[in-house]
Amino acid sequence: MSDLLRLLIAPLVWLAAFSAVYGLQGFGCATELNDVIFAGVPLMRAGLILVWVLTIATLVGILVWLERSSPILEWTSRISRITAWVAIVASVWALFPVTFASICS
Amino acid sequence: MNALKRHRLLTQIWASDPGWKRCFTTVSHTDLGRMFLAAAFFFFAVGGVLAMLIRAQLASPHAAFMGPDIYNQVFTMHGTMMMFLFAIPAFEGLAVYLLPKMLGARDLAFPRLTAYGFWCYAFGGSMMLISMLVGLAPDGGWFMYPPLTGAAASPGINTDVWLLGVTFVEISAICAAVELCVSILKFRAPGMSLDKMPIFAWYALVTALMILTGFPPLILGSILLELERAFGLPFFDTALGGDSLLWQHLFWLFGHPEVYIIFLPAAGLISTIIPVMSRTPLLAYGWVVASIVALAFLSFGLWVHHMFATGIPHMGVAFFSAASTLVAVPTAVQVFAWIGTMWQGRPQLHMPMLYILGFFATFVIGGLTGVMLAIVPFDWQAHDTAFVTAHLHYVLFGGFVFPVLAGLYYYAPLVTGRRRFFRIGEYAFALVFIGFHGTFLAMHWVGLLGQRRRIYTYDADMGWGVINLISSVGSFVLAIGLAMVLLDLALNAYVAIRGKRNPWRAGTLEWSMMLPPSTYNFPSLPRVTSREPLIETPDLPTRLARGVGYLAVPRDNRREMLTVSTTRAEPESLVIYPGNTALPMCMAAVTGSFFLSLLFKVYWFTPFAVIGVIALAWRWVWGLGSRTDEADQNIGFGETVPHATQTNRSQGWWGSAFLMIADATLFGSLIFGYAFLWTIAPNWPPPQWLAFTLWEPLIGVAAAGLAFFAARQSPGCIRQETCKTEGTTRRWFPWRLSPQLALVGLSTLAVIFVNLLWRAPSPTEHAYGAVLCVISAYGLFHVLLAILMLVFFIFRIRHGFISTRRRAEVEIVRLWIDYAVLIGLVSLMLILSPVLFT
Repeated sequence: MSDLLRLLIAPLVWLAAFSAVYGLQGFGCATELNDVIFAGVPLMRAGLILVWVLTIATLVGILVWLERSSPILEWTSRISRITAWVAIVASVWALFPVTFASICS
Repeated sequence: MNALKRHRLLTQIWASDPGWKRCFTTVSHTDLGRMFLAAAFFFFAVGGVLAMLIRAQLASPHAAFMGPDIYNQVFTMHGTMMMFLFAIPAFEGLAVYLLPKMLGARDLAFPRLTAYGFWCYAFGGSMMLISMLVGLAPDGGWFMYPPLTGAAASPGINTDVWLLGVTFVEISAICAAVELCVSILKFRAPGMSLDKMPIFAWYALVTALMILTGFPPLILGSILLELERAFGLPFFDTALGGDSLLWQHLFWLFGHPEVYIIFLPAAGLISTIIPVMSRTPLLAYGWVVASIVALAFLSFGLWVHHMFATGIPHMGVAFFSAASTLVAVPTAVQVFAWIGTMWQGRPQLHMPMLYILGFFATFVIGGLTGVMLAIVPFDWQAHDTAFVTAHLHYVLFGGFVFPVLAGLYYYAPLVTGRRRFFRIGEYAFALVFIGFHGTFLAMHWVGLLGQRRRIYTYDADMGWGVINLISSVGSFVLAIGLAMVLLDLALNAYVAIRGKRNPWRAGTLEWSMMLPPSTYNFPSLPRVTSREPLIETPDLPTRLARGVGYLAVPRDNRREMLTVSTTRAEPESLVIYPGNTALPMCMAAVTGSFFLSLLFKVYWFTPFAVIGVIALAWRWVWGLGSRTDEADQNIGFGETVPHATQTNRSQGWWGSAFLMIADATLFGSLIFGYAFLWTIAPNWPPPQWLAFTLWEPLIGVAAAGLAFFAARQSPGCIRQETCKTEGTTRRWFPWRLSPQLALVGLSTLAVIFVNLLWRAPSPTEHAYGAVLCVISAYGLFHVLLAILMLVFFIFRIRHGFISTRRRAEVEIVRLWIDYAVLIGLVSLMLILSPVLFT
């Protein structure tokens, strides 16, 4: 079962992060957090970018862990590295609008 | 024992009841798979007739063939039948029929659950079909958007038929998903490690996991909308703190993964058939598995692309637009793997390949129009037009029906044992292909000209008449083609000559059987050492018949099967299956009476239906297990394994764990709904908050802790053999005490939830009160379920079903208590903690 979980762990992190970023954006707009500027930086966008970067960092960490740890089957190690790369690319691509898109309009 | 004697003995043990009783009492996956497929294609035929009616109505401007009321019912039922009563059950039927044969097993993990799922589907589908015959069919469109489907705009029971009927049918999908997950992971032939599984099993596993996580949001949405319609709880009523957009979120959280739930099994058939037809192994097996996993996850990040026109902020739209374009990549990986496989091999143009080529042409067009719709400006232009309807059909007909027809032709020799003789199929394919593209290419065109979907008529001066006529003629050609396919299959099934074993010279285990397959599948279970055992060991069928395999000697008239370790598939335990019984059908009928009591608002009957389900469930489980310890059993090759009841992780534990994934997803969807209403819906805050009291969280946590730790006592004692040997008092003390202590803890939690239900703000005055009511009821339901299991467990101890060796039930009950405690605590937190911040 642990081998199966290795295949799923990185995409699960992507899914959680994707949902979290979307939820955070919705929450920020509903609470007017979008208007808060702290030290000249729009707090909402900074928070979203921070979550985005943390997501990518976490996924890179998972990829490194997958490279180093040994599963029961070598085959699952290879496939889990592919799914980890998928999660990294998906995070970069699907969440990069946090850097430029208008948040609440 | 010679092969003939083994065959006779196994046939006697595994046979279904003879005569008319067979279809009511069978628990055989072969019978039930065929019944699922027959019912699914029956509904496909009915859905097809409805499509003909739609096209007849739209063939000319101002047609008077149907009035708008009937038309609304017809297109709603067409979509509902194709989605819920054909596509998903057809997958279930295929998987139920094929997987044990592919995996080298004698049946699925829970044969009676398969039967229960089938009967829920049959009764639920019949309920919806009858509603149509009496003119009470749903008429709000297959995605049932409120406020159109609210009580004010849609009085009568039409919408309730959809909400309750679809939920009833979805029980079948959840049962099948649990069944398939456990079967694929634990019921394989020894040696069939994850990297040696047939590719279809990977597709089925991922699809089943997607059903467990994709269907619960819709089940929740249906429950909430039914509660609003029946009892006035305003989840979707904007004036009272609800929001109709919540329905769209819940529906499409299900609806978009649903597209891939439909596509993936069909892709599994393609990945199975192309290598056989091309005489070469599947290219890039590992990449295909990775792309299936990737596709499944990405498909859960697309749901808002159905809501681009609802005024969502640009950033949210951009997330989902980006994810929607991304999903094309793993799909393309599979398409290139299939093309590469054909390139690598020597493709032969048999009937299945014709449909696969038809799939390529159709699905690629559907995929490309999908990418077009993922681009927001285009989507705004094409939204709610016939272009979207055409795209949907290219994806679903191209991505599901073509491959399934290929699969039917591919597996017809296995199911019927006959060789194809009549050659109507080639002509039928030509009609299907031409008819389909004639219908839906034209529909793209008329959609781009502005024709909206679901309109029942249009003016002649719109310029859509000729295109619609072409589309309608195409649809009738398509219908004739499909009728000829059925005729071809039926003729070849009943009239053609007997075929030989493995006619396609395939390498997977299902082709090692005699044709048609025997009731027990394999006379002995193979030890698998490659992905294509029949290519590696061509004489495998003879060896298995001679008994060179596991479980070669039938024992004690019992239906035996092995469970294996998840990754390497090493034998772990021996499972004894239950025999033929009408219990699943009876339980489905009583479950149906529960839904009917809600539909016709005969609420006094509902508790009786619930009691009936509990009583039958009790009877169901009571018959399992044993009152005596058994020694480890010899399974062949000098190996011994314990009985599954004498392990910590029996198939029941795994089934419970997978069911909890679905349940937790439903709970997660409820939390999402709460957060959505709180932050997005207008007319918040509510007029009245729940008053905070300190005793509820304090006693709740203490009670949950008591149940949790008391549940730990019992298994601990059972694992320590000392409990058994140190005398009656020590032996019984912990078992009697710990369930009772757990019972006290859970009962206290139940009282707290009842109190919360009692003192929460009125659920009909604002969505806040309604949400509190549902969360409290959800927590209460799980606590009561755990209490019921504990009571059952106490009875089982008293009747001698539990011992230090027979501990499987202890672990299952403990798992459910842990889960109830977790749900209870989170529910309490959700109800009480927001009060502190208001």
